Amino acid sequence: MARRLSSIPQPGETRDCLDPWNTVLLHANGDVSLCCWSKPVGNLHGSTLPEILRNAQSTQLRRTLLSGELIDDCRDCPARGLVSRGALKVKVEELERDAHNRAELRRWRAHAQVLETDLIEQRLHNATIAADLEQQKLHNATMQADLAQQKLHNATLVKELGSLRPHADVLAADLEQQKLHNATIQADLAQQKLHNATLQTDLAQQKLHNATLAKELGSLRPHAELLESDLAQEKRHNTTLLTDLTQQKLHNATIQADLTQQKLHNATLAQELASLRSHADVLAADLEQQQLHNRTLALELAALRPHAATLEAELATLSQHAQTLAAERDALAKHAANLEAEKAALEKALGRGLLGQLRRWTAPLKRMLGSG
Amino acid sequence: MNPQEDQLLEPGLRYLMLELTSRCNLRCVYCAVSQPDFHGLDITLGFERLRTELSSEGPIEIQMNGHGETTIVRNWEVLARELIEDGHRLSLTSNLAIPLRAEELAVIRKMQRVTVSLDTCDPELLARLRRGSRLEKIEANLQRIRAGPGAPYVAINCTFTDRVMEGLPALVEWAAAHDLQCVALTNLVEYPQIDPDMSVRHPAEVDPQRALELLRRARTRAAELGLDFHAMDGLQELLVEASARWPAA
Repeated sequence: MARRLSSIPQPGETRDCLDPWNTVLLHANGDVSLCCWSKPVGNLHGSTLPEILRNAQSTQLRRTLLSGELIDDCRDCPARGLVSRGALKVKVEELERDAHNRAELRRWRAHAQVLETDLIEQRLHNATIAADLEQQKLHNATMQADLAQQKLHNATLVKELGSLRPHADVLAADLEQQKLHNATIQADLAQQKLHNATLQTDLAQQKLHNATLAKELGSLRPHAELLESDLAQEKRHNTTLLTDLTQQKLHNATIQADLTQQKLHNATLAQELASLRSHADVLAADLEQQQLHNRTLALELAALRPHAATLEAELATLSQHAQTLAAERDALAKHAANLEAEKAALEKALGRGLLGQLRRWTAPLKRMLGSG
Repeated sequence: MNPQEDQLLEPGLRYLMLELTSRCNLRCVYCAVSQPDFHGLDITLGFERLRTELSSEGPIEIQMNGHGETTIVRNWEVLARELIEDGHRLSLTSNLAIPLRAEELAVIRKMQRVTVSLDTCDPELLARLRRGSRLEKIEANLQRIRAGPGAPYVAINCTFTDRVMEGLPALVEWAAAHDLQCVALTNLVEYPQIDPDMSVRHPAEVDPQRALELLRRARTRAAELGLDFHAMDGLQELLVEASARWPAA
């Protein structure tokens, strides 16, 4: 058990303590005491703090301090000194005034906060109004400037009106002249109408003429059909000619192939001829040798005359054969010349002859088609 | 009482001592918390409900203390910050035996006052009296509190016993040297002694005249050093009364 060492109150004295009015000790378990040394007067698990501060126990504790009839906790209090009851009452009255003043202060502070908020809003509103006013002033200045310009413009217009009035008189005179001119134009219009009637008559005649032309056109149409038929036939003929031309080209190709073969054959013949000539030369050499031999043999002729006759016969045969070969050579050369001529003729026919003929055939047709 | 006197019974709440816990990290030899049958607990009300109740009578001065050590309650600094945001003026009483976290320092610097429970600046005596407390840790925390911007008013709260009364003038010097603002003395409430080697007694029962003399010297020195000095009303009266009765040596 704790032992408190404290001063002992005398009659008429009480503790110099305002704690039960202005102080609370909130314990960890929720207990609420009104000072460090007294027992709890309530618990926050069952009540609110304002309820506890105003409950019977709290009020009684304050009352005992004021009356000096102290409970044990206050009588043994180690923390506060002693004071007369009257002095404590004065302190409590001061405390109450202070509490009242603090409450008033809180109330006024809250009010001041509201006023401050209002002031801020009002300032914002004023700023908006000031901005509007500035805009209005600018607008007014613009309007005044416009008004001044309008006045100037009106003065200018009045001036122009003064200068335009004589012109209006001139225009009135012009108007009279224009009316006269309109009468003249109306007379011309009547004449134009008569002319239009004449033109209408001409138009009717033209229509008749057109009908005649249409009739003629109707009669010409069969002729045109005949021409179309001829044209179709010509086209078919052209097709046939094109077919022939193609065949001719094929024939030419065949001829060219034959010519190539002939050239090859000629080359072969020329080669053979050359070889024959060589042979002939050999034969000639042989002949010369034979002749030498003959001369040798002539010497022997006397003894060998029958054999000489035989050799002479052989010589004649060989000469005849050489002549035959020369004739053959000439014939081949002639044949080659003929082939060259044929080739030139075919090329000419293909390049110009046939195309010219076709143009001559198609010219009358074109003329007929053009007149149709 | 008449109605006018009834008006005098109306409360005008201005101060609230908030005990977030009755648990403590120390076991001071003279404290109720150190008694064998004492069981501490953390506050049983939610922080939101607390905020509502504490604001019900308008803005007040809230001192966070009680039997226990406030700073051992989880998120105590969050509640403190919220109460400051609600418009209350906050103070903290702590033994500062635990290194403060940055979040705690931040909220402490927004408080009006920090009261440090410190009976002596003699490290050995402190360790024996306030078992678990170390002077160097308290000094380190004080240095951090004073170092930052917006440092609060810092007071030393000394439970005035026969063990520490001779060191009172030195405690005043120590407070001034650490750039603190106040030294305050609390009247001892005696509980059954728990440590026969470190029993404490009220100075009024040991030597009230010497105690008053030391009190006067400390007060004078505090004034010279520009420190505030307060002795609990009951303590001063008790010493005067006891001194009057005290037989001359």
